[in-house]
Amino acid sequence: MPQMDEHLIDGLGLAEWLEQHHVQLVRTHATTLDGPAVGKYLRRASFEKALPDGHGLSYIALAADLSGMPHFNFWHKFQEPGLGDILLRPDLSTLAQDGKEPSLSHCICDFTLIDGGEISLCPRTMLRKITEKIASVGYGIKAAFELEFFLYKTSFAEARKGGYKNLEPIGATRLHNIYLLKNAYHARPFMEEVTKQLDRQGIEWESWNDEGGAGQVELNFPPTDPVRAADVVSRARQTIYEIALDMNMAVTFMAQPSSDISNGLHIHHSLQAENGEAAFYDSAQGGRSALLLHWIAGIVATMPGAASYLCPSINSWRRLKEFSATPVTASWGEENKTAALRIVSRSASLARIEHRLIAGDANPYLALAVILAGGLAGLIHKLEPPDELPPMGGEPPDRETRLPRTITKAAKALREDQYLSEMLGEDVVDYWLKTRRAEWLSFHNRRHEPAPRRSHKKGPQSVQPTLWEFERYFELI
Amino acid sequence: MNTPMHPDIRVEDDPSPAVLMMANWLRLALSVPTSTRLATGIFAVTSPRGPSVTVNMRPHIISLESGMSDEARLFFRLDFNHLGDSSHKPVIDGDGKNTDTIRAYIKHPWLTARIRRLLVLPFPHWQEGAARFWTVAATLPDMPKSLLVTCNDEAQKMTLGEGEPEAKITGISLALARLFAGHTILSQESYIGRLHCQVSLQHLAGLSNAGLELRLGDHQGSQIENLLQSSTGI
Repeated sequence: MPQMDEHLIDGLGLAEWLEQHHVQLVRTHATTLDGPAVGKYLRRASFEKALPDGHGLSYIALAADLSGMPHFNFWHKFQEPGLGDILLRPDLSTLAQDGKEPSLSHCICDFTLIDGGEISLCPRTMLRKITEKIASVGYGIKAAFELEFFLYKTSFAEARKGGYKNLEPIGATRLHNIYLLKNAYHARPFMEEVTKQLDRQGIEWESWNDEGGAGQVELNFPPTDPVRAADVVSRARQTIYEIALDMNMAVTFMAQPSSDISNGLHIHHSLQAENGEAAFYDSAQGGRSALLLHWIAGIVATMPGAASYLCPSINSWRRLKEFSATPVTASWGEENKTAALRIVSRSASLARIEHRLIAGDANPYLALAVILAGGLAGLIHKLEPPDELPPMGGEPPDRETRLPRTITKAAKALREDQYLSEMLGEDVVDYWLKTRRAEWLSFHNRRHEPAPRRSHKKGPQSVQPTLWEFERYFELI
Repeated sequence: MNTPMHPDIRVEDDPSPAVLMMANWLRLALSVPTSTRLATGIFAVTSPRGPSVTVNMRPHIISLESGMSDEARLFFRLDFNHLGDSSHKPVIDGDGKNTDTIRAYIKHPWLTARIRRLLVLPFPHWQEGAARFWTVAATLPDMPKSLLVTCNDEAQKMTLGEGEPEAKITGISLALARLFAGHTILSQESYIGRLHCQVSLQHLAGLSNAGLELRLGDHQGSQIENLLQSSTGI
């Protein structure tokens, strides 16, 4: 493997790195369309032998729904050879030690064809490609995620047994306090373990705090390049799940696990010019550069369609409520947390966009890719943004474009969005739309809970999640 | 005289799959000449797995919505998988305690009988259905260029498209009629063994996706309306 030895990890060649870290086992890690990580545990020798192409696994890993049901009702060209294998190609720059087992290392991978060719559906590949497109027009990107989750004293096993009706949130109160140190203290033993393991894996984190829901925690990461930022979220979700399991607790990233507060996955991002300067900032224009306005215009124009990726599950849509912290309009505003896009333009060092629509169960790679695709479309087509949302004390003005409120309406908006198809690829968007149809059909095909006669409620429009959603999303997302 | 009926069939905003399936089935079933006359009234049908549909029948307009509307007076139970199957009659959904409902059946015997009959109107014959299916499906992605269909109980064969068959489907007439109406999906039917198919993965996906397009339309039922227009000249 001479080519691998040329690849330096922390200044070391691969063999030297594995030796120095006493690695016996490597876990590969790739993120599927719905978000869960898949991979294998490989003996060190097998991992090395499979380089640089990586190891094989069934294509089902990328073409099944969250329940593991293969998508036989639609097809993508990557499935050309039939029921064959694809590869997980390691990105050796992501090799990191496990937080707990010293002889175990983790490595993030891309899905590729058996001949090493690219699979356009691979979420990490999608994000990398859109990042490269933006680089080709002269800009670098920095992105950062806010990861929210609910933490319960109840174990996963007990939660399953109790039909998820017995979930006991961690914390001093079930009220809607935020940043409450008493609540945070309850979560501290758990978060201490989380942050310790993130540190050991070399994952930088900034802060964590008690969030608005009972048992809700928010963990913040510093800005970095987009693919790395999404890698961090995917790894952190897996780590947090494992620690909850080890500590006999439960955790969930599902968007709306109760009728109360929901989980979001807000994404901050900014562009840098080739000279490293903040491209969103222009002091001569009061802080907002012309590029920023085109970029905002693109994200706002594509937001109804992008919502399909940003709110991917049946459960995601329960999160959007009028007059709450979750946006219901395709809107933007300076330091305005009622808008979907919160703009910060008071200084070059802070200049960024915070996208607030993303549900906690979104795939971090796809969510960031579709946001950047919208921004790039705005830049290329020189779009102009709608009026800025004024600071509000009431409902958004009627002129604001209402976002779709169901998985089917968002899919329709995405199908009609020419910009996103142009930026992401028609095959990619078409496949995604079919996966959303499958998700919608699965939900409606579930065994319904007994409903009173003359009940007129439709599942997706009420706030309370169904048992089907808990069984599908609670642990897997 | 037995004539096809073409009422305007409307669905709610953002309809559920059950509503779309029922609407598209009604469009197809009512396009077949029948002695059944449409009644007027509001009824709800529940499938054993749970989805419910309320059907409001007015002169020339049938509208459908999810759930059991407050306005429905008659309630039926029917496995939606058995729509159009006269061997599975819809059951009156009365538990003996709801006197309002029981009174409604006594008060509206004619309506009750009409609705029960309506729910088991047959699908078009499989060959007619296959021809209609191909009109729409042939242009969809991942479809075979040619499809050979063999009906076991009628000992009939039919080739759709041109050239050497790239895919073959075999089964009994009822299973084929349901398939080509979009009422069942090839991948599921072949998985449970109700239909046998020799087909590539790509074509299986194409044929199954075409079935879903027919079943679900585009939320306005336009696919199936186009299909009916092209094949019946409505």
